[in-house]
Amino acid sequence: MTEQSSHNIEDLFERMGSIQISEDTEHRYALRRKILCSKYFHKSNAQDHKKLFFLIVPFFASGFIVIALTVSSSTSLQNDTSTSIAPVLLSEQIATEVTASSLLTDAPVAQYIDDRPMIPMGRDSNRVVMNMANVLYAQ
Amino acid sequence: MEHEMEVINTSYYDSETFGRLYDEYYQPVFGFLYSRTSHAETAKDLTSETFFQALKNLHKYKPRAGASFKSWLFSIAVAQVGNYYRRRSKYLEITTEEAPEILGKDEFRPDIAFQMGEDEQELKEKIELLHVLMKKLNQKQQTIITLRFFSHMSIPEISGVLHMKEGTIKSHLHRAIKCLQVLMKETQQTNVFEVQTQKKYDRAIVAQH
Repeated sequence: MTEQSSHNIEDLFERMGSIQISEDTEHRYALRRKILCSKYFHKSNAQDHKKLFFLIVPFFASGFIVIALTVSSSTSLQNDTSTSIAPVLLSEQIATEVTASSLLTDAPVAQYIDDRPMIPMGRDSNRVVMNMANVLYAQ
Repeated sequence: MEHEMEVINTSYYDSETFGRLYDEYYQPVFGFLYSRTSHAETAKDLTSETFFQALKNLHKYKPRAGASFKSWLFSIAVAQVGNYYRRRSKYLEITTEEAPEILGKDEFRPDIAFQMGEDEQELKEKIELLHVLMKKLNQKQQTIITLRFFSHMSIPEISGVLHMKEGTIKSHLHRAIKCLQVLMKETQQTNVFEVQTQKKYDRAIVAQH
């Protein structure tokens, strides 16, 4: 009896479930339109653009930095070759002058290659020039 | 399954592809929500909420064994029903006797029997009764019965929707049907008693005359 009534209930449920529930077509299409025009899709598109931006910008920035470094290093190399000899010559000249005469006196001895005025020198200044000369000679 | 996965992956950013998913699942979701709430307008609202939630959380969907997209979507619908009943418990309930004008409205279709022919009177009465008695079950049992018989889902599918073990689903289903049997028997006995009392009363009135 219980088994039979259980089947009866299941049959009734199946009968109820077999009846198609009519939908509201108007609601269906209104909701479809609302969903497809929703902000979530625009948001995801904006996120894509943001992602693209964050990928491209560092790429170009790093490229620019590499180019800038290459250019600056090449120009500094050129400058080094044109100017590096002169200080040595200058230092040699200064050193010879320093060792030969001026260290014994308090007179100023340091002199630039170009026409800049001579450095006024006291005792301390002489010491500095001497130190520089030592360093340059050691090189 | 793979095809569906492709569609889901694309529909995250392509509205037209999501539209295809919507077209496929609108009717099952609406049918389930209508069966659970017995109210067309509420079912429409909950269907809208379900699809918007699905769209919002589509990136969280991970296909697993026994958890198809359909199960995932229905689990959102079940959550919406839960929210609806929780909210509704705070409202004042009005019966159809208190507000008979509601019965005339098109959106009030208390059960499936509404759509059946007038000639199937007995079956219609039984279905009406079953629908009323179903409301006496707890929410989980009602959901399981609706998914099983109205949404035609298998036990593994229901298990995927409710995140419960198949054995637990089966026992809930068994207990619900047993409970309905008892309730139906009691109601029928009461009805028989009422009919007998009515007959006795009628006979007594006839005898008086």
